Amino acid sequence: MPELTSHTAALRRLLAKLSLPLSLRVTLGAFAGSLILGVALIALLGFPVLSAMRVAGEGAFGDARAVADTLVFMTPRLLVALGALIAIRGGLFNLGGEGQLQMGAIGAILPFLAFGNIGPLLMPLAIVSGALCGALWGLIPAVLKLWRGADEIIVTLLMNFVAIYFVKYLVQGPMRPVGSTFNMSAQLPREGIFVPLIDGTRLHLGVILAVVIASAVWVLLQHTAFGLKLRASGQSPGFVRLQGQSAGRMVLSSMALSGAIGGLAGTFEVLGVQYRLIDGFSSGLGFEGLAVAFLAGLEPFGAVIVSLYFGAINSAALSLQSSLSIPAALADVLSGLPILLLAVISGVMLTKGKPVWTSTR
Amino acid sequence: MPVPIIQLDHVSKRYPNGFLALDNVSLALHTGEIHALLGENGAGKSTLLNILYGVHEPSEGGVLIEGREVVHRRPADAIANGIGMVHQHFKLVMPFTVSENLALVAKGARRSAFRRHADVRAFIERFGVDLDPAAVVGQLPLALQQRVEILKALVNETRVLLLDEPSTILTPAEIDNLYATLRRVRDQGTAVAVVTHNVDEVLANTDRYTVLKRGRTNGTGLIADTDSAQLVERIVGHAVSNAARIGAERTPGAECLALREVSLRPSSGSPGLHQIDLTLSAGEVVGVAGVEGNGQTELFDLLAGQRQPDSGSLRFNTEEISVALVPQDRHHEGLSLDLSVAQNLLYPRIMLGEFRHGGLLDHGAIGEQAKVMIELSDIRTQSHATPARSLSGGNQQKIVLARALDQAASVVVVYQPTRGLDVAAAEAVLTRLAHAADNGTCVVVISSNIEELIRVSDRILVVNGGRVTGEVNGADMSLKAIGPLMTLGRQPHSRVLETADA
Amino acid sequence: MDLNSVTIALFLAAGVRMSVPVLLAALGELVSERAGVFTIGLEGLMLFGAVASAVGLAMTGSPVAALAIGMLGGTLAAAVLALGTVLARANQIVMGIGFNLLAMGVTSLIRQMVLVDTPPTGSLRAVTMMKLPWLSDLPVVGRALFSQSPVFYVAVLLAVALWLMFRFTRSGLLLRAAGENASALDAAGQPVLGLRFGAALFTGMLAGLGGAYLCIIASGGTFIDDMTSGRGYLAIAIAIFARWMPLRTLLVAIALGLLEALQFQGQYLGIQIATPLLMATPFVVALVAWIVMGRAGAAPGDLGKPFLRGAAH
Repeated sequence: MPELTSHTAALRRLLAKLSLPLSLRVTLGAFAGSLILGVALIALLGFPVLSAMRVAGEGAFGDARAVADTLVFMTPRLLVALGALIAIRGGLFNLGGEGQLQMGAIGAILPFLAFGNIGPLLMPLAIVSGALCGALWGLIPAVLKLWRGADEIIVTLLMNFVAIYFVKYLVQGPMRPVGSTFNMSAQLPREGIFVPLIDGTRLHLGVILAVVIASAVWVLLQHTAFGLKLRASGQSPGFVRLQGQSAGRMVLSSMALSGAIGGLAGTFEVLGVQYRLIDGFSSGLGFEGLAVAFLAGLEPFGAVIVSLYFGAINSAALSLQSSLSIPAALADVLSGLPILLLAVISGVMLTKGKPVWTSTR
Repeated sequence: MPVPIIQLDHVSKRYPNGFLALDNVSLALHTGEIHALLGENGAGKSTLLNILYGVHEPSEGGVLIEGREVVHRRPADAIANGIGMVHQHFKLVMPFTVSENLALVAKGARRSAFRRHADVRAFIERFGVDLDPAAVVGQLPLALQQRVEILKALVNETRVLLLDEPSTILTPAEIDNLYATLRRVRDQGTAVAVVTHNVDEVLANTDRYTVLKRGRTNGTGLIADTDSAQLVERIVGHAVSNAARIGAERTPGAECLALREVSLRPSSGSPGLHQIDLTLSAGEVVGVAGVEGNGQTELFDLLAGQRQPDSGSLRFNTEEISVALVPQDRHHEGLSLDLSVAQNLLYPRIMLGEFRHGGLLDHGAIGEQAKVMIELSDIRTQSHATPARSLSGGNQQKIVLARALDQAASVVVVYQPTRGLDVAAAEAVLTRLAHAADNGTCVVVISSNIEELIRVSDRILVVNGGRVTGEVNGADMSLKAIGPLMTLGRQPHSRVLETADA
Repeated sequence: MDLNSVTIALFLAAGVRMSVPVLLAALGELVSERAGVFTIGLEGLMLFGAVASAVGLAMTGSPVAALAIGMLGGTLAAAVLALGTVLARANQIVMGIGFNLLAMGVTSLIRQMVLVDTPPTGSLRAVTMMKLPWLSDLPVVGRALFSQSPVFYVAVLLAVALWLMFRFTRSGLLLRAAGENASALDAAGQPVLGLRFGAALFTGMLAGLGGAYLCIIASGGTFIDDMTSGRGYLAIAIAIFARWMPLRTLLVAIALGLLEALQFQGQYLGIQIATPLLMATPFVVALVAWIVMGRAGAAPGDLGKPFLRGAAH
C-alpha cells in the first residue's frame, strides 16, 4: 500500500535527523532521563534506592560472571538490531525481528534432529541453518511486497506471532522427545554448542561473533557499493529508480540479509544459552532489538553500545530481583522508556529546529 | 478611494535555521483592488502571504487590520478576521466532494449554509463558476480544482483574498478566466492580492503592485504609473534583455532517437500520450513547452526508459545511444540528499564497478575525481564529502547536471531544469546545456518556462493534452506563437468560463 | 463428533465471545487511523486496560466498575502515548514499539506490587451474560448472538454509531479530513492536533475496554503478564484490511474470533489441530487477507505523518 508508506517518508526525515552528531546528545539525554526515572520508580515502590543502585551496578559489571551475563544478554538484542537497521536503512520497515529470531532458533536445532551427532560439523551447520531460516522468514515479506504490494509493517508484525506459535507447536509436538513432559526439544550434544569460554560464566562464542558481525555490517554500509545503494534506496527510492537500478533486487537482498542476521540472534541463543529449542526462550527479544536499532540511530556501532546498555539493564534487573525482590519487569520499563523519550525529543526537534523546505532552495 | 484594509507593519521573518526571509517589509492591501506581489523565487512572497494567513508568525513587526493590530497564530485566526487564502499547492482533500471541501471551512452560522447541495450550488454560481457540488475534487481537472480552492477561500465573508502563484498551472486563456473571476470578487468589495512573477499578467490585470527582492520591498505603486521595463528592473535589479539568446545557431547532426506514433494510455491524473512523433538528432537543443500536466512527465518517463509505449515505437538509431537525465525533482529524484556530493556525482560510475579497491569502495579515488568535477562545474561546497542536503538549490542542480553530462550520453533529457533557482544559477545551467549541444549532445529541455526555452532551444515542440500541437523554430519562437498552441485541441471543461479561443 | 445445532451454537457463541477484545481494539484503531494516527501501541493500551480493570475489581469488587476503570486506564495510557505521537510529533512507529515494551514492564510491575491477592470470587454474572428477551430464544443464533455479554452489544452499537458518524456527521468529516490531508484541514481553520488527540483518546478508551473484557470476563478477573498475546497487532491488521470501515471490522473480528474458538470447540466439530497452530490461524488468515488485498486499499492520505504547519509537501 503505497499510501501507508508515508510513514517511511517520516522515518526518512527521522533518519536525516539522527545522522547528525546532535543525535548523540539527544540519545544520551534519553538514556540519562530514563535511568533517572527508573531510580525514581524504585524509590516510589518503596525500595532502598542506594542499595538498589549498588546491587544493580554489581549485577551488571561487578565480577566476571556479571559482565559475562551482560554480554550474553547483549548478543541477541544486538543481532536483531543489526538485522533491523539494514532493512530500515534500505527503506523497509522490518518489524519482524522476533519472528526471524524464532525461525533462527528452529534452524539451529534442525541439523541435530536431522543428522544426529555428527561431531564438529554440527555447529557450523547449525549456524548456517539458522541464518537460512531467518533469511527465509525475511524473504517472505519481501516477496509479498514485490508481488502484491503488501505493506511490510503489518506482514512482518503478524509473522512474528506465526513464528512464535510455530515454535510452540514444534516443542509441544514433533520436536518433543518421546516420553518427555516438558515443552522443549532434545538437548544438543556438547560438540554442537558454544561452550562457555570462561569457566563459571556463560560467556559464549556468539558474543564475539555478534560484535564481529556488527563490524561487518558497518563495512557493508560504508565501504561497499551495496551499502551505498542500500542507503540511497532508503532515502530516495526515486533517485535509485531513475538511475536504472532495480528496486526489487534490493528489497529481496536487504530483507534476506536482515532476516539472516535476525535469525542468528535466535541461533546463538540456542547454541550458547539454552542448548535446546524451548518454548518462550525469547521474551520479546525481537522488539527490544528493534528498540535498540532506533536508539542507536540505525548505526551498527551505536547498536553495540545500546545493546550493551540493554544487556546491563537485564543483568542488573536479575540481581535486583534476587537480592532485593525488585521485580525483574523493571527491565522492560527501562527498555521502553529511552525510546519514548528519544521519540518525543526527536519529534519536538522536528517542530522547532526543522528547516523549512521552501521551493526556493 | 480605496481603503487600506490589511497592512504588514515593518515585518521581518527569520526561520529557525537562520534564513532571513523577510526584512522590514511594510505593505498595504486596499479594498476594491487587485494587488500584485512581484518577485523572483526566494524573494519572500510566499512567506509574506503565510504570515498574513497565520501559517507563520513574524519575528518582528505585526499585522494590522483596519488599523488594529492582530495576531494570527494559525489559519483559524486569519479566517476569523475575514482572510481567505488560495495556496499554490492546493489544500484540498482530494477524496472529498466539492461540498465537503467547502464545508470544512465553514464557520459557525455558515455551516448550515453548506449542508445541502442546492445551497452549495447557489454559492458557487455567485461567482460565475460552473461546478457540480457532488463532484469528487480529486477527479476534477487542475483549473477547476483551483476554482474550488478559490471558493473555499471565499466561504466565510471574506474581506481579503490571497492567492499564491495561481497562474503557474494555467494556460494563458485560463489565466484570463481566473482574473475575470477575481475581478468579480474585487468588485464585491474584497481586497485581492496575487503573488506572481509574470510581469505581463500583472500589467494586464492588476491595479497596484509591490515588488519584493531578497526579502525587502523594492517599489510599490499603481500599475497605471509604471511599465514593463521598470517592473522587471525592480524585480531583477538590473535591466534584462529577455531576448538574449544562449548558444549560436546550430545545424543538427545525425539522428539518434526516434519516436514514431508513440501512445500511452491516459489514466486518472494523466492525459497519457497520443501519437507522438519525435526525431532527436545530435547537437541540437529541443524544447518541449507546455503547462504542467499535459504529458511532459509521461514523455520524460518514456525517454528515461521508465515506461514503455503502449503503442508505437521508440527507436535508438545505434547501440551506443544512451540517455542521461536531469529530473524535475532534484531533492528526491535527482539526488540522494544524505549521500555526499562526491557520492552523488559519481553514483552511476560507482554502480558500474569503478572506484573499487579489493572489493571495497575506494573513497580516496572517489574524492579525487569528485574534486575535478566540482571544479569544472563550479559547485560551491565546503568539501566533496559534505552531504548534498547542505548545498543551495543552485549548487544541488549543478551536481545533477554535472553527473548527467559526465556520463557522456548521446541524449540528455532535462525536466524543469531551472525551477527554484535564482537568475545566476539558471543562467549557468542553461549555458552548460548549450555547450553540451555545441559539443554534439542532443539536449531535450522540458519546461513550462517559455522565455527560457526561447533563449536556449533550436526548436520548440508544444504539448497539450498529451499531443504535440505544433512545432516552432527560428524566428517563430515567441510567446505569441507558442501561447495559442498550448490551448489547441483542449476540451472545454467549464461551459461558463472558457472564452472562445481553442 | 456430533455436529448438531447445539455444538454449532456453542461454537458460534464462543467465537463471538472471543472476538470482543479484538473487535473493540480494532474499532478504536480504525478511528485513530482515520484521523491519521497509526497507533502501534494498541497492544500496550489493551494491557493497561486489563491491569487497570484487575486493580479496579480488587478495589471495588464490582465487575461493572472494574470494566469502567479499565476503560479509564486505557484512556489515560492513550493520553501519554498521544502526547508523544500527536503533540510531540514523535515517529508513531518508534513510539508505539517503545510504548508496548514499557507497557509489558509496567503492567507486570503493577501485578506484582499491587495485585498480590487472588481476585475476589464475587459474581461476574452481571457482565458476562445478558440474554436479550425473545431474541435469545431463537435457535442457534439465539445462543450465538443474543446471549452474550452486554459489552458485546455495546461493541455492536459502537460499530453502527461509528459508521453513522463517519458517513453523516460533521465530526466524522473533520476526522476524515485530519487523516486525509491534515494541512488542508489546518488551512481551513480547524484544530488538527485537537482532533487527532481526541481520536487517540477514544482509541485508548476502546482498547482499555477490550483489555478489561479480556481480564474480567474472559479470565475471571485474573491479570496475567502479556495476556494480550498479540491481539493488539491483530486488531491493527483487522482495522486496515476492513478498510477502516466499522461494519466490516465487526464482521472480520467475529470471523477471526470463530477461528480462535476452534481451539476449544474444535474437538466437537471434528477438527483435530494442535492448539498452537490454531492460535496461529487468526494471524495467518489476517496475513493472507492482507496479501490478497495488496495494493487495493486506499489509506487515509496522511496516515502516520506527524502534522507540522508550514512543512514541505
